[in-house]
Amino acid sequence: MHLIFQFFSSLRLTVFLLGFSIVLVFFGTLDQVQYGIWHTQEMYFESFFVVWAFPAHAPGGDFLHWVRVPMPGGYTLGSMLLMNLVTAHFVRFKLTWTKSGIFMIHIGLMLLIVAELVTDLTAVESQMPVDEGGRSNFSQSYQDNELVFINRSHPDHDQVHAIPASLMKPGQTLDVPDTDFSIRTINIYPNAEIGRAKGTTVTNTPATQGAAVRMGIVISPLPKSFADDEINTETAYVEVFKRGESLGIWLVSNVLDERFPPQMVEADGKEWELAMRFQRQYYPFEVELIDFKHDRYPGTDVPHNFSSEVMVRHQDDNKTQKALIYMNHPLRYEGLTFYQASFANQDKTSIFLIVRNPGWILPYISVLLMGLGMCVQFGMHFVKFLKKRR
Amino acid sequence: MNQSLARIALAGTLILGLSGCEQDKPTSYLIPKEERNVTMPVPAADPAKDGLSDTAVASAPGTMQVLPGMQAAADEAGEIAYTVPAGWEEIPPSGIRKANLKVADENGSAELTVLVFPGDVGGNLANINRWRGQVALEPITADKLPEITENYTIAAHRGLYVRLEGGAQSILGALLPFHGSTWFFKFQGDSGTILANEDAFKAYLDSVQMVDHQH
Amino acid sequence: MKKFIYILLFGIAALILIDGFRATSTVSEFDIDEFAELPVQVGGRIKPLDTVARNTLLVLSARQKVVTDEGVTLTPIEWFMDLTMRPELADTYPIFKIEFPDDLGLVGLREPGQRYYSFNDLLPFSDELRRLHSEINPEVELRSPYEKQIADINNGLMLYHRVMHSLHPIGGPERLDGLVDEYQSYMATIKPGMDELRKQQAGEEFDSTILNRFIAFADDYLKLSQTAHMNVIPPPAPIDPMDEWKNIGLELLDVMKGDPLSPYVTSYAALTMSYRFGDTVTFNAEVAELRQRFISDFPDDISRVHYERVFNAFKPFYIAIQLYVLIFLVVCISWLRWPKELGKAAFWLLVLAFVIHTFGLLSRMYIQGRPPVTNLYSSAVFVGWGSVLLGMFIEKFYKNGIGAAMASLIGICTLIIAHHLAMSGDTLEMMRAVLDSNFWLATHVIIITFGYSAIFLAGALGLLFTMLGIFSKRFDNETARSLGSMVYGIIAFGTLFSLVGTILGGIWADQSWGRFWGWDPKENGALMIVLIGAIYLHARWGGICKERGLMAIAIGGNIITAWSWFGTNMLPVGLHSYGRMDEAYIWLIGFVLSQIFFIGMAMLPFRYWRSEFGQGSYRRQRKRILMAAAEAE
Repeated sequence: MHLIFQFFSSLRLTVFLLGFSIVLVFFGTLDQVQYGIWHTQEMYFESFFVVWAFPAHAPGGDFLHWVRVPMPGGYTLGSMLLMNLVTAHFVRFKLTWTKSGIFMIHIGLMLLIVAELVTDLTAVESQMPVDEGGRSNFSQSYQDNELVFINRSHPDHDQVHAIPASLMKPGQTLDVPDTDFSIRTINIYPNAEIGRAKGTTVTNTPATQGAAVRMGIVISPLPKSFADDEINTETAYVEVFKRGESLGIWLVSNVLDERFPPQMVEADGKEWELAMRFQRQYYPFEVELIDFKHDRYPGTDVPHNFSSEVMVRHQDDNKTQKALIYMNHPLRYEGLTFYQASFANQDKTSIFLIVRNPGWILPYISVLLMGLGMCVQFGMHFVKFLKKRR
Repeated sequence: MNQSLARIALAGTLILGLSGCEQDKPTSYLIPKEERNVTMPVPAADPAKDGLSDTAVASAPGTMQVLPGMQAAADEAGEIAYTVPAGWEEIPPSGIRKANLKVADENGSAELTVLVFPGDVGGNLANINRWRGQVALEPITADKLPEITENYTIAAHRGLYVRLEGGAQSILGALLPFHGSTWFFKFQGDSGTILANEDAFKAYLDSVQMVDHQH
Repeated sequence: MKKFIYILLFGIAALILIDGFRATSTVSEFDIDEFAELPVQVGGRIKPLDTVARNTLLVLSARQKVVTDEGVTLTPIEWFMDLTMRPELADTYPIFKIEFPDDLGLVGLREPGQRYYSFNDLLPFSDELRRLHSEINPEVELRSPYEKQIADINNGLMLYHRVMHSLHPIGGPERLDGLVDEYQSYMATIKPGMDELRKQQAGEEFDSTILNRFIAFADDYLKLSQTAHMNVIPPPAPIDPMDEWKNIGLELLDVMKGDPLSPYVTSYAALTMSYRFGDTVTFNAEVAELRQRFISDFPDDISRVHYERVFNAFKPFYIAIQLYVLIFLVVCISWLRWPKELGKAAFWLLVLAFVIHTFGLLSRMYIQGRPPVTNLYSSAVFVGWGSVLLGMFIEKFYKNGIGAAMASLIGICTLIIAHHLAMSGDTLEMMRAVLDSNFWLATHVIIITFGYSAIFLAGALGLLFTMLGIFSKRFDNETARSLGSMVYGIIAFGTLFSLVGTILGGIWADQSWGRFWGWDPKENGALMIVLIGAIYLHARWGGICKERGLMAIAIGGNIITAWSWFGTNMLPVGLHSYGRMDEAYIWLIGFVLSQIFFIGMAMLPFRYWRSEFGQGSYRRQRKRILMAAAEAE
């Protein structure tokens, strides 16, 4: 036991772990070129172990594509550094004034590592596009999709039944919540090319109902794209059952959006809309975009300012809040933060990034602690140094 | 003391981890009534990214220069009526485009646009050479013009019909001088689709009716 | 003797300074300086013509002067005047720099020993060049060096063309000689021309000669409005700095709407005509009148524009480089002879160079209205400044020339890097929207860049330690220890700043897009610097490494900082990507390899270290091994 504590609290271990961290961060930066930030984050920093492969497209890739560098992942290094720090404090540090600076810095650091973990696990980002003069009461995920059945028969509201696409595995049957439906996923593709079949007869499609049959759509699966500006067309063939009886097989895809007529599932004289779309989060308020400004520097295309003037109407309070959202100046509302992220449709549509991050305050506390600790620690050292020179 | 601390930390992490996994469950919920006319735009540009575009973009050959006043003249020129051929898709007119149709088949796709400008915009030869450039054909001289054009009546006035077969892309077009303006009917797209739809294009031209105050 | 040394050194410094001052005014019969100060709007900023001239020349020639075939040297503004007002002459000046003309495969282009080509040289090949350009990879980052050269030439020709046609319409000598008359006849044609156009549209009888002449003007000015590079016509008062100025073509076209023709148009036409005829009197009078009009329209900006021209000519950073070279030589000599006198002279020269360097930084801040670091160029200038500042402090404390030597070395390197970065155009460019926050620019960016300065200085000291330790017999334990404590202090300082800067960056990111840490390449680079600083400190505190190992880590810090500063910008990903950085890639690899080589040298066994320090360490090592062996027996 004593040996274990000695190992975990040793400074040598610290130096080794820091060294491995440099290696991990370096390769995690290189791989972003081919895998994009999100996927690289999962591979390198939200994992326990990772192996870097020399990318085939890089210069020298013909000779060096066999090169592999294995290394511990972010979770491993993070947790070991945490343990190293905690045990070192209990084993070796005495709580004295002279060491107070270092204490604060280290506690701040521990809090920062924990804060990052909390953010990893609990923060949710989504986007909300709103047209000028239009309103929106939902946001959608950047990456995740869902299969939805929508019942629009009630005069006052619509009912949405959603199944996250991550739960859909080929051959598996899932119940659609709060309905008599169940679906069986024939096949699901994270990305696919959708097009009309050549020729007049449609072959090779399992679909028996819906747009696939009507418009003669066939698909060819594609590898998942990691580029930041490309969308993965999540596509699937699903068989819909009502109380065990098959109603047919539909092709659903997130590219079949509001531009196309909805695919309907009929049963018991009622109709449900069936669709695959980016996961939506509905809110008890509406965001109306009054005006979007895209100011450029005169005579150039360099953006000087993006700003969206919005009105937020909450369904309960009838309290309308006007706000101006622009770069470096988000709107904080109901535990969410709205950032000016992007725009489209020749400056007629503004796109907001919505972040829900319950742990947002942790990094600030950590920063405060570290700042105080550094002032104390280096202040003391500098005073000592000056005294010696005099 | 340290062991129990470590155990607590581990437990805490596990709890946090499990709490984060809540997103992946089927759910059902009510939402206010929606109207189905929202289109999800694809973001045009990310202002947070730094992208220095290649500043030296040579002006594309064959683009029409819109002089000031052309838009106003187009607005004054009046609307046209026509019959959309079967299987073609119609898009609402905009700006200086008086009509905009699309068609697609097994050979590809093609688009028909109708524009009107005051004056003769440089003359028939210049316009036809401009179209030739758009389908990668060499420009021709005035003496060759009668070889590739033929007279064609549109809305009871005499126009000029031209067939330009490029490699991958082709254009079938008609120029119609009409009381001080010129109307351009341009049908451009993948060669297979264009040639397969030539009859439909001609039928479209025959169906065009224009408001005519002069006669 | 001592007095002589001081006089000699300060004489040299004074010469360097005077040379700089002399360049700030041009002597000529034409009021060239006044012309150079006429403001125009390019790239969103109001700047003097002098800046446009210099930037254009830098992009085309990679230098700020033109040497004609007759051997006459022209300043940028003189070249610019010929380019815009006597284009037939400018077309003969060799200004297009082509490094590898043979690669282009253009028969007859290449002259042996010629690196600069004139427009007339390239004219016969313009079709071929355009064809080559259409075949290269449209993705800028994926182009080979051959394709990049083609793209550069094409872009250069495009820029040349656009700048040439910024003050007046396109045309040959006959047209340029009669510009004022042309404008008058255009003004006279407008009303009759519009009348004929209306008649034609209504289907009535019209006069085709008048109409065609009018349309010819309109077509021509339309083309001009799409070509002109600079906006030279300010809007009528009261003027907002964000208002877009008009270029010459657009102003001429807008006259059709019934607006009066701006007097600036006729002024520039008169300038052109008088310059062509050699009429200094009219030229100077026109320039003075234009200047007066600008002063009344832009009372706040005119002094800044004037200052910018003087600053351009003075070139404080080139003066600083020369001074730094002088300082480095002086310190090196001071280690051989006259240590006290040369050491003191070196220190004061360093202070002088630092003052000039600071002056340059402050000037840029004044002209741009921003904190000192806004782009890669200014970061290079600032890294040098920071290192020199730290080096001055070290020199003051230790008084052994080491601080001055390393500071001047880093000053030279960073200013040369900055010089190369200036080749892409205006270094005082506008800030993109997400970076448009003076608070964060003044805090996060400056602190991080200062961190770079410190780590580079520590790395340079590590290099010095290694070189002296291996090669210099006189390097003793005391010097080694003082170097060790220098490096310790600086790395502590640098780590602190890098950590604070990185955290500030996280806060900025949280305020901008809700994510404190996004694993963006630049963020990762900054993290790596903090990590290696932490490794150094913990290794030192834990006694894991002694001086030699610590110096190796400090040299490693150079590699990591170079990666963080430049390498991350070269990756085509993330929020900090600046795109193409071709030759810089090779330099970076070279630098990294050189540092790895030095680390290898540092790790050589002490037996090979010639210095007193090295031999002492070797003897201690042997003693320990012998003692351990003796105990084991």
